[in-house]
Amino acid sequence: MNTVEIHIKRRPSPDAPQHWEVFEIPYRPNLNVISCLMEIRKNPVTKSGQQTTPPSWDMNCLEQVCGICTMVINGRVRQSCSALVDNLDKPIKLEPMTKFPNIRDLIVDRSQMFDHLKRVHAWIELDGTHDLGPGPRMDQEDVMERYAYSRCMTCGCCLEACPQYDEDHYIGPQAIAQVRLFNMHPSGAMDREERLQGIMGDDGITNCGNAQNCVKVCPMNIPLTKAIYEENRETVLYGLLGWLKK
Amino acid sequence: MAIRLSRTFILRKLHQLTGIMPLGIFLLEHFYTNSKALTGPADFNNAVRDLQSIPYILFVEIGGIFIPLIYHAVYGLVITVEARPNNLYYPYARNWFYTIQRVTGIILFFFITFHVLNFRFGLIPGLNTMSVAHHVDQSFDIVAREFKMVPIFIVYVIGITATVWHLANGIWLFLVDWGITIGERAQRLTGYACIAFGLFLLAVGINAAIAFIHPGGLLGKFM
Amino acid sequence: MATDIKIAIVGGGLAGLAAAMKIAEAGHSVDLFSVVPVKRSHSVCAQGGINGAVNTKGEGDSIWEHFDDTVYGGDFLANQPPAKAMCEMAPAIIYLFDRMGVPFSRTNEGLLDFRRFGGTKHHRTAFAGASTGQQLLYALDEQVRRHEVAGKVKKYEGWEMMSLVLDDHQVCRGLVAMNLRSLELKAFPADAVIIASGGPGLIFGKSTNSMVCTGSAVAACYQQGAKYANGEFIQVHPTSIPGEDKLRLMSESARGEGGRVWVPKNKGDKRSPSSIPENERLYFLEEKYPAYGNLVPRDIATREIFQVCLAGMGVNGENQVYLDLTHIPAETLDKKLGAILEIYEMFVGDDPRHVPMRIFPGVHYSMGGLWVDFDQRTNVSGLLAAGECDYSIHGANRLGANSLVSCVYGGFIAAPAAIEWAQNVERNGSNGSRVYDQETKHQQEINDRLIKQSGKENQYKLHDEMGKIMTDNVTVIRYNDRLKQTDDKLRELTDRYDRISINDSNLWATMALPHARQLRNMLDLARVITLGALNRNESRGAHYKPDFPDRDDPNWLKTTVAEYSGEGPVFSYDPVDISLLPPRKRDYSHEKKETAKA
Repeated sequence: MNTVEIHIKRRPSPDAPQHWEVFEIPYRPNLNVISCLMEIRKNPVTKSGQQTTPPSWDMNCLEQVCGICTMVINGRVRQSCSALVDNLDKPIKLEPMTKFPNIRDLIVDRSQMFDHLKRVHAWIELDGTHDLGPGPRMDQEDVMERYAYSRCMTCGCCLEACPQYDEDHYIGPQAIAQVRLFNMHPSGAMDREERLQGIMGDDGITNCGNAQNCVKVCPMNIPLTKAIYEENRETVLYGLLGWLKK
Repeated sequence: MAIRLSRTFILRKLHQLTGIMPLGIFLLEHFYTNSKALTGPADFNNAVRDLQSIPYILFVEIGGIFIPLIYHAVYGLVITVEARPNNLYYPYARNWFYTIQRVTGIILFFFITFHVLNFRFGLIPGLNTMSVAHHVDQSFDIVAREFKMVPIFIVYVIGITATVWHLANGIWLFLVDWGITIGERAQRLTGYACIAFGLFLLAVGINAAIAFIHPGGLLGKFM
Repeated sequence: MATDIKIAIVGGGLAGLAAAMKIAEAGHSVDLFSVVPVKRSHSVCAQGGINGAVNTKGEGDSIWEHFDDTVYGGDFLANQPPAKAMCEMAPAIIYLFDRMGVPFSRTNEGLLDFRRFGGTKHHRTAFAGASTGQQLLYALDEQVRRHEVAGKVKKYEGWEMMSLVLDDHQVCRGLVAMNLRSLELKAFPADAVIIASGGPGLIFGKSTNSMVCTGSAVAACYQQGAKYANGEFIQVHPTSIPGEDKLRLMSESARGEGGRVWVPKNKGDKRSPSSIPENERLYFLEEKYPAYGNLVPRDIATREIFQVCLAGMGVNGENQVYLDLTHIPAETLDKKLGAILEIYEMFVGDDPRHVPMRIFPGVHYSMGGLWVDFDQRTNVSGLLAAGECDYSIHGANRLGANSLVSCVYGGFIAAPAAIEWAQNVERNGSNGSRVYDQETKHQQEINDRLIKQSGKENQYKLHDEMGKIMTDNVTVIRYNDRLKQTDDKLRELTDRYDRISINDSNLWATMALPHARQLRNMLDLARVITLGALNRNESRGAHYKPDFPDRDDPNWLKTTVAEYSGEGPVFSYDPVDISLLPPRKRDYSHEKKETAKA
């Protein structure tokens, strides 16, 4: 019978060391990595017949829009829901993302990314939610560009693949793209300087090393480097040269 | 609100800026002077003399070259230490450029140290002992003597290549880091331009080096 | 009057975040509980758009038209006043999202663009690319983050609600939640609780829902006395992509652009689809409905596909049929269907331009949910509900692009209602902290028992069995004998549940114990759905019984209400408020005949 061999990097708890375990499940067409994990957890026995604990992982939408199931598959970061077994090299190697605290097995804690969103003021300062009529008129072309940035699901692929991102020393492409998203909006632009301040700190935009892996691994095809370079321009114009206006 | 500039922001912007100005400009000038060797020792020595006769040359050298150079080199090493290269799993061109920029940076750190001690001060034990700046009339001969040693010449070819790479890619980096180049197409086009410029600069640099051991440079015997 | 009001919200999707934003804006505190980080809620999956009658296309659209479409689409089972109130609020909701920065598509003048959607003839649906739900959720997520920074909202992400805390007078005083990493159980006092935990799709095993859509929190409320209404109304989407892990939506536009639905004539034909000759293919829709062919209405397509598979005629004997686009030139397909073909390619790996797609109807949405009054209050004092988890608005069937607007509407109504309750309710007094300790202890005992017990049953296999029988018997086509069998099976599963053993000895960040808790709750809701369907001997909206093919208003124009008892759900029936629009026959083969405004 055809089988699929899966290697999973396990960690029982945050302070325990990591180790590999090998599993084998029957092959079926159209399996994705999530369904392999589901199969394994039903009866967690390693390939060599050892009873073990079921692997833990994060999953939700399984349509690559929630971003939660991101992991490192065969060395590359991606969503496990859209990783089809038929398209992967065997044996399949599953590891948790390496740039975030590892909670257990394939689960990591990405809350630092949400903290970054707070830092960059990634929202529009509404006067209130009562009915004030429609928002500002916008050019469809600008809307399309904002839509591209607005698709970011905070999955962390860009940070995982970034050679500059480690130990949270760099705010990273996702937050910078959100600055771009809101600074492009007529109401959002009113808080431009607060957002720029958020990306001009010691872990700010200048830590970008232009390796451009972010834009290559982004599952939503967000033009992340464009956002970074737009913000380079904004930080130079408003941040570095702003005093010349005064 | 007024934007507060963080230390890192200022240091990085300075690092990006010094790479182009004055260091990039200086490199062009340096290659220009070196290329004087193509037309013979006298022209080269005269060019060195002209440089040495710049008013306030000491301040120009210290403020315009040594301080920016040391800053760019040392802070560059700090940046390099932060790098976590991952080229094997993410083997994209720009990711390789990222790593090579840092590798060439390290090469340059040692090469330029060697080069300055070797020619500007003549302080490398076992090699040249005369400072070019103080023996203007013998400039060409000093260089030619060193270059005739094959290992030294190889070191210089590697050094020149690394320098040219570092500058050509550095120009591209400067363009994006200062928000001059933004979109994908612009990134691609400026990329090609930088490659072309780098190849041209490499040819000029290597040819000038050859001119010290082969009169007229690579094409010398045909001219 | 209380001034330091704290309201707990369970669920961080559109409804939960909408309520959180309103409460924080009013200056009160929110504890927001969510199984996953709120930005990863199931609302992100909604693709189409959000309805609101703004009439920017000069088509004479109106709030009344939207209301009429909603009630008509829902086969007149919805209480009409809240449906109308939602339609009235809809344009303001869309404008609010516009102001929040949602990148809605624009017209040449830079105004909001609207498109047409199923069940209406007006351009009424605002949309942001092909991921409107994601964009709306992010807008609310951003606003709630703003209130979080301001200290008004405290998020408990990675906490799952286990039960309500009720005082001696059955008044809701907060909830007990479990930390999904440490399994710590903790009571959270609150002046009111809003449930906004979404739909129960996972009861059907595989559905188009996300993995958090277990309905578990709702079931917990039901077990503690909250009424559950119209549970039997489950919307099934005709074309979804069957996967090993879930069903993914395939837009109906694939049929619209000329897709042909077929199965091999020979049962269990193992040949690849391209090598099956034309005369050995059964184009069952075209054969049975020569006039409409593959373009029969959604519910008919769903039933026919389902029936073919139930008869074992599905491709490879599995629950799937071919949706074939290969006869259309690839360039045409790319131009018209590019984005959706990419989704198929991404998750199936086949190129639908050259290989027929395999599709099957998928459970998509629950019209039923917690019973609420017109202010989103459940029958339990201090407990409110909003979004897919409440039963209001959609009646027997939901209109496309009405779900997003109903979620936000529910949240916007629930928030002030919760505040009002909290301002007037007398604080705990004599009960003190006793009720919290009691409930936490009770939940701890359940966990301890589950962890300790060792039996031969496997929780995931029980879930699979439940999903399979629910999908087979309680979705598209319902027969009373099969519904009875299903209920027997559910009771058997409930019985076997007591003999499961948690197969994870490492309780840190385990998936096993939370799943076991959810499974128990799903079993209870499954019975509500199944028995509600068994009782309702008519066909209405998404509920279809071949033995009772017509809508039966004299006997069944009423809301099913289930209440929990140890022996299973106890049913009663409420009249439907039809004060605004008299019921008429729902028939999509002709153009809808509108009623004059009453």
